[in-house]
Amino acid sequence: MAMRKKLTVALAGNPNSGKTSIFNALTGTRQHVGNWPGVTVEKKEGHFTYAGVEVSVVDLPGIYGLTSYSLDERIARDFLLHGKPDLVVTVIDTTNLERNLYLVLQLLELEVPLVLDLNMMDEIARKGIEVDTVMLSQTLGVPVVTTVASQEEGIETLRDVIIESGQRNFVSPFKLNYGPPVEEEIARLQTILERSVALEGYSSRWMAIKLLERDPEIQRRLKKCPKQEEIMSAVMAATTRLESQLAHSDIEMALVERRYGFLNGLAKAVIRRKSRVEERLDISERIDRVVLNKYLGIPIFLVLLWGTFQLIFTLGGPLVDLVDTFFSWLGKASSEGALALGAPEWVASLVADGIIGGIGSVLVFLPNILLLFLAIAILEDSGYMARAAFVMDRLMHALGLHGKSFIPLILGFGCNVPAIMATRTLNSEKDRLLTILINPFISCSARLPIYVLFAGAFFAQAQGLVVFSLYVLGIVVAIGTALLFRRLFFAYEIAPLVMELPPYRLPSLHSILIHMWERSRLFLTKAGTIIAATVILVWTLASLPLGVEYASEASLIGGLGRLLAPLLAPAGFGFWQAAVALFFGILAKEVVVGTLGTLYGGEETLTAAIQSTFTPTSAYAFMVMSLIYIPCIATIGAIRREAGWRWALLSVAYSLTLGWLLAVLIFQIAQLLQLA
Amino acid sequence: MFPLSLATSGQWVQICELRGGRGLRVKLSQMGLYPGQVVQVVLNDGGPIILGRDGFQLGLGRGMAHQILVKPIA
Repeated sequence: MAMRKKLTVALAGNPNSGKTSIFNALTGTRQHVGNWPGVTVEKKEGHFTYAGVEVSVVDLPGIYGLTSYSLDERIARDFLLHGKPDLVVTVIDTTNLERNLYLVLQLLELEVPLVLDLNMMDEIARKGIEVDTVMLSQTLGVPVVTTVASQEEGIETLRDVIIESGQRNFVSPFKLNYGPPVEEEIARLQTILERSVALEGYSSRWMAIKLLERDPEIQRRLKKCPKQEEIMSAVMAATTRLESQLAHSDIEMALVERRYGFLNGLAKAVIRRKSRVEERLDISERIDRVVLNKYLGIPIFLVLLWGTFQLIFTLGGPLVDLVDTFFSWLGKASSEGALALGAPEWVASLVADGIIGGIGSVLVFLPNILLLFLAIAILEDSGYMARAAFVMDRLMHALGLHGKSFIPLILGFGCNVPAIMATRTLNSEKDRLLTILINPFISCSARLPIYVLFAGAFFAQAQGLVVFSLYVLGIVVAIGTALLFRRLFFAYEIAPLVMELPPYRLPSLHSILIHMWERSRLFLTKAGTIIAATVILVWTLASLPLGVEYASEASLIGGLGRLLAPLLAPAGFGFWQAAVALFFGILAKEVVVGTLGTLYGGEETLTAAIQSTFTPTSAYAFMVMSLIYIPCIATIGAIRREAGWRWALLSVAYSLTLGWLLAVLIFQIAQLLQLA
Repeated sequence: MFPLSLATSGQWVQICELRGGRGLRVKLSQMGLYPGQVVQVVLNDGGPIILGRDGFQLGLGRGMAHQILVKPIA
């Protein structure tokens, strides 16, 4: 048999099994290792080359089974059935062997070539437990590897086994015996299926079992088959017979119980406790008694949130000043340098006012961004985030949201795009839609530069407080929108909350820095690309028609601004520069500051320019407008992808209107109060 | 037999019956809460309920805890 030179391997496993660490160890790419459920990217792919074979690795979402009940499971199942990987490596949290093996049973039934990777062996050893991997391997008919992903132990062996098993394409003959009445019906259905349906590589046994479980996806697939009626009535007859024979009203549950019965026995056979493990409350549980306490939970959460903001501003402040000084110097130096080299005026202007002025004004906030992501990384990695979802559950419930919605909303503080993608863990479509639609009002990191600029210029003493107020406003608007939309569009029951709480871990410096960097990198590449491109575009429009004074009202950009400015007058900033900044902010919120930086590039500092054109009230109104007026293009794209065109359009129209209304209201009311 | 929501913090219980829709019952089972399984109630003080068993911890909303019938284990 010819040697395969290319393999596709799928990585499956429960959430929190260390699957992502294995993925990183195998492929060497840096990916986010979420310590709590709710961070899902649809498919992470990587590759490595070993022993002359190119292996492509696909990281499936963390799943507990292969039913049709959750989007993650459907995605995983779809890939396994249609993506036809050459091998599936299941990463197992060995401290929780029985439960993790449930997924393995489902995979065995799917009849895919399988390898088991028992991970977290260090924690097992610490608990004084040993696993008989040989017996496990023999019973299930699959190769078993042991690893400690966090220390990169066992990875070499894993690679060897992957290469070897990938060549063999061997499917385990293991079949779980469901007991006589069930097995009989399965066999009967198999015969019917084999003669009536083009199986297309599906296992007939697996299909028969799915039909008995009344799996909606399989039923839907069968509708296209000509012999559908015959099959469905055979299934009906089978289930009726089984229901009476098993005295159980739910065949699916009966099968689940049978699986666990088997797993119980298997676990007893392969697990050996070397030393007696006492039943004492472990540290995580003790912490949870405090953190999840009915009265302490929310206050603790608020304190942590407030602490995070303090960290971002008191630590960030001096660093921001440093970066600011650097960029002013850089702007002057490069302009002088360009002129000295004989470059024409316009090149010097492009470099100093356009590129450096524009990008610099955004990068100046890098310290704040880094600290924000650092804080999020610490909260995630320590395991606190999952608890926060619980603490907020009752509150979320009152707002018509699911406790699990909390995690995508928290992610929104970093960036709305992955936050919207994270809504995939919500099982109910309506829960998902609602969480997606309110997400843009959660103030993302791209808006932070706007706040820091204006708050720094007008509310220097109370910077932290002012910015905090904007974040709170965003949350309030999100909540209000949730209540409103729920009443308008979705009158329904909230899906109940169940979530796994991973043990608390002291985050390793290494991993939080990686996570902080991963996310900040997105911010930087955005600065490098979209913002740079936009800034150059702005500079161009500001310098044309030829000969016009840079960024003056007579330039093209001034023309655009003057067109839009009247709309903004009631909100206190009806001048063209503000209009232009907001207009380009649609591309990326950071661009608002970048555009202002470019337009006022000629002046001493942006802050001074702002101070002379805005007032405290119009500044606050402007910040409110930036917070709400429209999701950035990337977010609109994400909404469209996850929810469809109509919802994306509604989202845009709604936020434009709301943003304008709020900004105007705030400004006008403040004016009235001043007059009084 | 009584609903899980009435169990006291620290108590060990065995799951007897899962009520609710099929999706919910299957999901709970997949996560390890299936009839016959023994777990400890780590926390139940009126808020969400935390269950634990050497290895993992699971949090449940109260509504869900109402749907799970358990019996105490000595």
